[in-house]
Amino acid sequence: MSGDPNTLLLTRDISVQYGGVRANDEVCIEVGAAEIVGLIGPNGAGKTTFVDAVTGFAPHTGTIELDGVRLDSVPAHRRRRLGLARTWQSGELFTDLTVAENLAVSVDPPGLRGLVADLGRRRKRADEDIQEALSLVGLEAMAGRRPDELSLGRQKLAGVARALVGSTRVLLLDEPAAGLDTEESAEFGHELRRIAASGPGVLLIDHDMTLVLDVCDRVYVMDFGKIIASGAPSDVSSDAQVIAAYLGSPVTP
Amino acid sequence: MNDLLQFAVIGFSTGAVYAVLGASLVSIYVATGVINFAQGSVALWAVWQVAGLRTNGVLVLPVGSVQLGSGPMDVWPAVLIGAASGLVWSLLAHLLVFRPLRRAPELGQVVASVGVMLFIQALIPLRFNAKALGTEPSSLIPLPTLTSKVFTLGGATIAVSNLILAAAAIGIALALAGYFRFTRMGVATRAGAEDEQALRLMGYSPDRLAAFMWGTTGFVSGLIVILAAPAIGGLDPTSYMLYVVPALAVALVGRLTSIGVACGAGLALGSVQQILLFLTTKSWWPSWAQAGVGDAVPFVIVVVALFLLGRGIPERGARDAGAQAPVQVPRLRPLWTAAPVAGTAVAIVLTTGQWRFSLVMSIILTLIAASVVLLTGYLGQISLTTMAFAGAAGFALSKLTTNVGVPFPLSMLLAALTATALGIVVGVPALRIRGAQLAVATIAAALAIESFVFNNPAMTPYTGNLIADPSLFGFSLAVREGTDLITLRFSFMVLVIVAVLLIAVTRLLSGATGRAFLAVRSNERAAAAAGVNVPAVKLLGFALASFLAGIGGCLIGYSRGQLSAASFTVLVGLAVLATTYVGDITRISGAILAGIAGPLGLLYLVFTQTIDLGHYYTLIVAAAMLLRVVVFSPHRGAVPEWLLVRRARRSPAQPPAAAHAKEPADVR
Ligand SMILES: Nc1ncnc2c1ncn2[C@@H]1O[C@H](COP(=O)(O)OP(=O)(O)OP(=O)(O)O)[C@@H](O)[C@H]1O
Ligand SMILES: [Mg+2]
Repeated sequence: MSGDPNTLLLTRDISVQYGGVRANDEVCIEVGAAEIVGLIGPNGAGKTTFVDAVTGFAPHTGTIELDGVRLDSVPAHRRRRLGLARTWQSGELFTDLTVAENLAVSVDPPGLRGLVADLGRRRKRADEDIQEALSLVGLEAMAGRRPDELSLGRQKLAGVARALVGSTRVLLLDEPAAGLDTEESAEFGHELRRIAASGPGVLLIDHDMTLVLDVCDRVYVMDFGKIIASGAPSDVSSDAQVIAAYLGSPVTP
Repeated sequence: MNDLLQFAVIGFSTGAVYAVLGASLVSIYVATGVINFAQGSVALWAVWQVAGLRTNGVLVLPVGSVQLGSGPMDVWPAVLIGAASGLVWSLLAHLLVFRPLRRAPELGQVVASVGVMLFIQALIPLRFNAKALGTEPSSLIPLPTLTSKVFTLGGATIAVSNLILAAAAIGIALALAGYFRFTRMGVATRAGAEDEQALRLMGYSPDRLAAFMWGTTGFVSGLIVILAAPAIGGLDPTSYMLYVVPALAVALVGRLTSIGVACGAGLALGSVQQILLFLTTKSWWPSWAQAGVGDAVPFVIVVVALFLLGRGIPERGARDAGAQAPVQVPRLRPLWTAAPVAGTAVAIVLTTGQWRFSLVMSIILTLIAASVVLLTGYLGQISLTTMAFAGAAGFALSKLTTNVGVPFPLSMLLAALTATALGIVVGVPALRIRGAQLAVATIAAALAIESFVFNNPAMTPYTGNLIADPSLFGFSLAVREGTDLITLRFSFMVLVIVAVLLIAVTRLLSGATGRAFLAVRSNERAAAAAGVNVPAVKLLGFALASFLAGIGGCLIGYSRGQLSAASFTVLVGLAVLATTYVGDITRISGAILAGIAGPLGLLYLVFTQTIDLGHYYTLIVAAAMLLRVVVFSPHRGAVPEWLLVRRARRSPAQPPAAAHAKEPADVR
């Protein structure tokens, strides 16, 4: 499976156990540079759990490699600094900070060095990086707003920008388009293409099949914690197993 | 061996108090999610109530008093009335404070319960005075209620009353546990803590169930303390109030869910403390560790229990921090900085004596309050250890200047760094616990530091912990000179140090450090996902806050010429938290208000000198704190919310979104 020089993120046999629930069962996934990979599955399939495991928020077994570097025993914040960024299903912006400041948290590391920088000369905030990330998701005009002044859909986009800023190599997006209407969702698809074209690999989780099938290069399908199918969007959408998995669950938008 | 048995049984008297208070804390937590720091104070009122009744039959009330019968009242009616007073206080606290705050963020709830605690604590000496009691309060002792019979068992003398107390504690715990497990109401209460809506559908009012629990726990807490008071001795308000700390410790051992474990742990803790007390009298026990072990044990228990309980990063679905007081990121504007500093300098020059002294105290308190703003307001870590950090630095300063002779600026710096080290140690539990539970750990730490360090005779020479006057390049900066109570030079030194540090704090809070703090405060998981090293940031916060408090402690020390342990008690620490919360815990300007209103600051002097309200100081601060959190809350407390809902009902055209989401269902 590996060996592809383009592969950025490679997970092998990721398993997560929550009490009696095996929320992830030996999940193997690959995401290449400038590639958009979809991860779909019914509610409760374990998609968010997978993102949690990969980014260091759920205890797991198995290995995670980012560009050949093993990450599985690295704490969550280090994984982010190494370029593995995520968004949250529920937005989770910092409510006291403006949108731009939300992004700045990811750019300026706090700590003793930051302390000295704060006390002395103002550090040059990576304003350009922040502006660029905001414009990639079309939120330049919202830089000075607080999260609660934004619609839920835009909060999600701000979360995407926060994950994007800095030297992000792989972006894991957990239902970033859930608050958007059809038009905005299509617009977001274009933005996503632009983002991927600039280098990072993207793992996209979403229930919006149109979006996923449109923008993804490849799609993985998860059910009961297992990958049950993968391949090109057209193959996956006609796979009988996939259809069964979706019909067997409450209808999702 | 029989010695150990004997002391273990003696320990049942305090153990029974811990057990019942602990079981009550668990019950209230299960029913309402509140950790009630005022549990000990409620019981304290009950003890005094009984003392008043049994001395000459007066029923002292929060306002006025009533003579019941012509002489001292009999034992059991007095005990019943006393326990009932615990019920009433507890119910009042529920109705007036905790019920309106049941959706408030944890900081609000902690502040509220500390407010109730301070309020009752301050009210007792005011109400139970010589006039109401007909005798000097200091001459009162808790009269015996239980049998004084003793018997011997294997050479140990055992008081029957201690066994009765233990049995009473176990009985009360069984009753509480049985209520939650076997009665429909109890099961509903447990369910209601998770889902109020479901409870209403079942036909119960969550409010009434909560009220029942508050009343019951107030009654049993009062009862057990009344029964145990003769054995544990004295009527000192502070020590009763602080029984809540070991009680919180055992409640946490019971994971705030098991009443049985809390009760067992309480009895065991009482015994262990007595046995330790006995062992400290042995010749082989190190003399430096003779005082304070009893208070250190609960701290260790709290830390270990919480550490095992806690999680590095809160889980998905874990209780959110909830809405928090909004923060305005500060901006340093030269004029807004220079004007108050210049104004204060002028005030220093224009005042003398007492007034200047209070002004300087206010300046120092501003610095200490700024440390609360940084750690609790910005980083969201509820710490009740601030004054202990300050005191620890003052203590180190005394040793450094008198024993080692370290010169001035260095001595203060080293002393503050000692407090910093202590702050980092106390901050370690914060890596795995949060909110009200952290408040528990930090108050236990404060108590341990107070009794192990400040009040430890082995660490204090007979002359007291003297602190040498500061001087710089042969230029004296001493606080006193001749008859001058406080010199200009010393006052200016304080002003310069505090102003420089406040400017530094403002810079930090408006920079990347402040952003990271706010990120951690609002969402730890998201902060970690954004690349913030959450544990490091928390420890940094504790380090900075304890450094600031440490400098404040050194300045207080210099102003007295020695370490005055009374300046750094847990109670003073709570008062500082109270005034900072009232001032505004999320702003540096709030710290300035806190400095003015803080213990022994300007406001205090105004109270004592002009309107003779000095006695009422703590009461007023506690009342202000309660009003602030319940009525004028920064996170929009109950009353404004209620008004919004009413307004929304009148003009249903534009219901405010927030009011709808948080609408209390019982508003009619
Ligand atoms: N912290 C946790 N503790 C216990 N079980 C959990 C936890 N988090 C998730 N689970 C369980 O793991 C399973 C997978 O959940 P997960 O949220 O990963 O699914 P999902 O595919 O993201 O669903 P959705 O499409 O609804 O977001 C579910 O059965 C869920 O109940
Ligand atoms: Mg999910």
